[in-house]
Amino acid sequence: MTPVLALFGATLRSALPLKRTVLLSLLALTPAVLFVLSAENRTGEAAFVTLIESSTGTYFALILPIIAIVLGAGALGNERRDQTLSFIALRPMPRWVIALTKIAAAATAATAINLVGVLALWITYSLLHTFDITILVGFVVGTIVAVLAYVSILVPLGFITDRAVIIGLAFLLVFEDGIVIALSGLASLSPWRLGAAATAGVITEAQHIYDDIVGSLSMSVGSSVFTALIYVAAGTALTTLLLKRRDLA
Amino acid sequence: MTDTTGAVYDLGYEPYEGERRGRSGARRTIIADGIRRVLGLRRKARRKVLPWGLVIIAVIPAVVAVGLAFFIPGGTTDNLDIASEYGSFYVLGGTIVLLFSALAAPELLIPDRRDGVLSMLSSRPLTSNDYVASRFASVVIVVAAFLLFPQLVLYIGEAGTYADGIFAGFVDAAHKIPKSIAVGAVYTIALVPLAFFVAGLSKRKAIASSVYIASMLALSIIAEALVKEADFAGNQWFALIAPFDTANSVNLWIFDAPDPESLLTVGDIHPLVGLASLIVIASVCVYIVLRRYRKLL
Amino acid sequence: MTNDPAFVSEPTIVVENTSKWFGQKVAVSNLSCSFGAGVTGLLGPNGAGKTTLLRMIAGLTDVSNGSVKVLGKDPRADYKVYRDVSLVPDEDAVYEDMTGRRFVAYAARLAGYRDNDRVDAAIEKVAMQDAAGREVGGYSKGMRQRIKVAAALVTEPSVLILDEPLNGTDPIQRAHLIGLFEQLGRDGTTVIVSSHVLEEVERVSSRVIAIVDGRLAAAGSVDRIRAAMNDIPYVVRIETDRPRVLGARLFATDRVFSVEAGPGSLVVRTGDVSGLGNQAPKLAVECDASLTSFQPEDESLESVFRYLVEGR
Repeated sequence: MTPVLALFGATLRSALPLKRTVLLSLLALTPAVLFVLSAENRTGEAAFVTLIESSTGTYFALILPIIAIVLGAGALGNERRDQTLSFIALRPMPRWVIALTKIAAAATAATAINLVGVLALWITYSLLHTFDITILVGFVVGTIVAVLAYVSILVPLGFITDRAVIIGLAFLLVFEDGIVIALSGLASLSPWRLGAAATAGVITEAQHIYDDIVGSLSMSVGSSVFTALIYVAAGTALTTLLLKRRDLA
Repeated sequence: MTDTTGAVYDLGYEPYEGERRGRSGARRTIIADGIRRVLGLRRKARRKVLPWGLVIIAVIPAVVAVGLAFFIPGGTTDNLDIASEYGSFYVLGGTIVLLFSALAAPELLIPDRRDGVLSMLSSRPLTSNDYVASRFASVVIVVAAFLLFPQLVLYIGEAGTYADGIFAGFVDAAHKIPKSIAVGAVYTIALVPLAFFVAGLSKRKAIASSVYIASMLALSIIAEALVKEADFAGNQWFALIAPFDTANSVNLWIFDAPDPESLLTVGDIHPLVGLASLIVIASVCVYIVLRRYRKLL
Repeated sequence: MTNDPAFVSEPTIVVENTSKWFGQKVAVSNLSCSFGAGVTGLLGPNGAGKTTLLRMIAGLTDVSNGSVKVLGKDPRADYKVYRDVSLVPDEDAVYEDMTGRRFVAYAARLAGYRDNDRVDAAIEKVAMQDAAGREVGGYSKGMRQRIKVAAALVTEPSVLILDEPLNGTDPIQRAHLIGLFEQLGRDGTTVIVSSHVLEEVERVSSRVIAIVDGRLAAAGSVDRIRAAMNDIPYVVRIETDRPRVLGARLFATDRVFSVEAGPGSLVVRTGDVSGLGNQAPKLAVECDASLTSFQPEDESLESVFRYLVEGR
């Protein structure tokens, strides 16, 4: 357990140096600020609808993916760039343990930053409109699901190429925010929609709003979490294979 | 006994007596080098994948649309009215230019700073403005090809499906040419200087690319939320903080196909005001980059 | 195989018919050798394949052909081998925002060790106690090398691979590290040191493996390698007050290939140093010349290295 905790802790610390943590946290507060401005003259159901729509557009479709992509790509990508990959690889740890620990650490870092935004959004809504713990729980679950999916893709991609972040952002821009809108059957390949589907599974009164957004995905926590775990398993397997097969110079 | 005499031996070295191309030659060299770098020419195959992949994505839809228009019996249909497609293909082209600028600007500016090449360049007949302008020209030349080639394909396609023959079609559709060039310029002004601004201030290529794309995405989404959802005095002016959306709106206005859902339309802002904001933003970005390089070179 | 100096009798590392190519470039070509307890110097010019060989032994790079076994295991396939193997790579490979102590402790924790005494002992071995509390990013090149060695030693490996460990170190640091490697070798650790600093390698290694163009060029102790170079005459400098007279007498013998006379000395090329050493004083007496020095000039590792590289 000591090696796993050491690797987890070191990855987390390197993912979140002070300056980056502050900048990303400020970025994560953007949805809360936009919600305040958007819902200024709205109450009740209208405010709730604005919360869901605004959070989908700014949080799920933008802030969460950006943070998860940046932190996921860096988990192994930064080690490779800084030439410390050999330091990790030459340890008596199974490769799959290294892979899974990196994914877990990157996901923890991305979730922590995103939860800053989620908390800000929920507190803002609670103070200005209605206190509803279900909303917080829903966003937290959705965040974890989406972050796990993104990180599982970006960790191995960051190992393969130093352009992982730009590829991830291009994926977000062209595929998730373009192609999937036209072809809703591909929604399960959109991590943020997976997170939104999980959120809809908790905040059931918002399902009619999420219906158009999540496409063919089932709005249930169970199936979203299961899909996210498939992403994690696939990401771990791919990363393990890369660690075993590729030169670790 | 030590030998105190010295000798210089002629090893055949000779001073260069050929043409010296001076400042214009130096600029041309930087431009050519920039084009090679951004397209991955004379480099490993994997350096060509992304730029040429983007070129193909930019060009293929226009080729397919024209091909379909030629081969579907009965001439053009409403769904394949090429004459009305210039604007929408430009929106795709603009997206590709955004991604390409995110790759190209850091590729051109950051390695020279990081690897200490600027000090070598400063010993050449090249001012800092020459250097930045030449790097900018490299991107503009490639971006122009991205943007204008699909438009050329559409133009030929529209002329080719013209009922009165292709030459009549060329003449009748000729008014699209200055529009295409104008819109190309709009996207270039909207997207490339910002990419140079980010690359000029960043130390790493990956970070510059990601900050640029993330910022453009974020500005679009934030502007959309503030213009369409918010309700406070002056919220409509936030439409101008999203250069990509502004460029799209100006593009569709030039091609007489304005989008009622665009931020400028919703905010009741004239596209020329949008264009002016793009020019202002581009000018500020260019000024900052030039100032930075005046200190470096 | 037991008589071949490329192989040791009780190997911990066995490299068998190993080749590695990167596209069209062959970095290591059909190389076979073994390493055992003690210090082995790995020599070769730039681009010879030393780093590639070390990476294959450490399991960072796969072999294209052949096999590498470390403590009987394939390092690419069996991660458990890293309980006993440590590598100090040539590149920086440090976490700049960690302190030296934390960096070494991290290496220990990744191997499952939690005690801080082990960390302190490793830092003390490389004499980095004073700087251990500072961030590695602020270290000089020599300090980074030493902290990397500490991170490698904290797990008390039985195999220690060092790729250019003396780079950037000042003479005092270098002497300290060399002493450390010598001690580790005496204690039974298999130490492989790759270096361009030939005089230090000559001091610390009892055995040398030389690689040129990816192939095994020579193996064994320095003097044995030199002795094996039958086609290259020895160069001997003889200082005398009558160089031309003595030189003529030496040249008349059948064991001398050439003589160069200079002011106060002769440079003689011979295939038999010890024979010449017996004969030269007698000839000096016969021609009434005084002999003040008789010095073979190319038994150093540098000369051997030069012959190996330039002779190919």
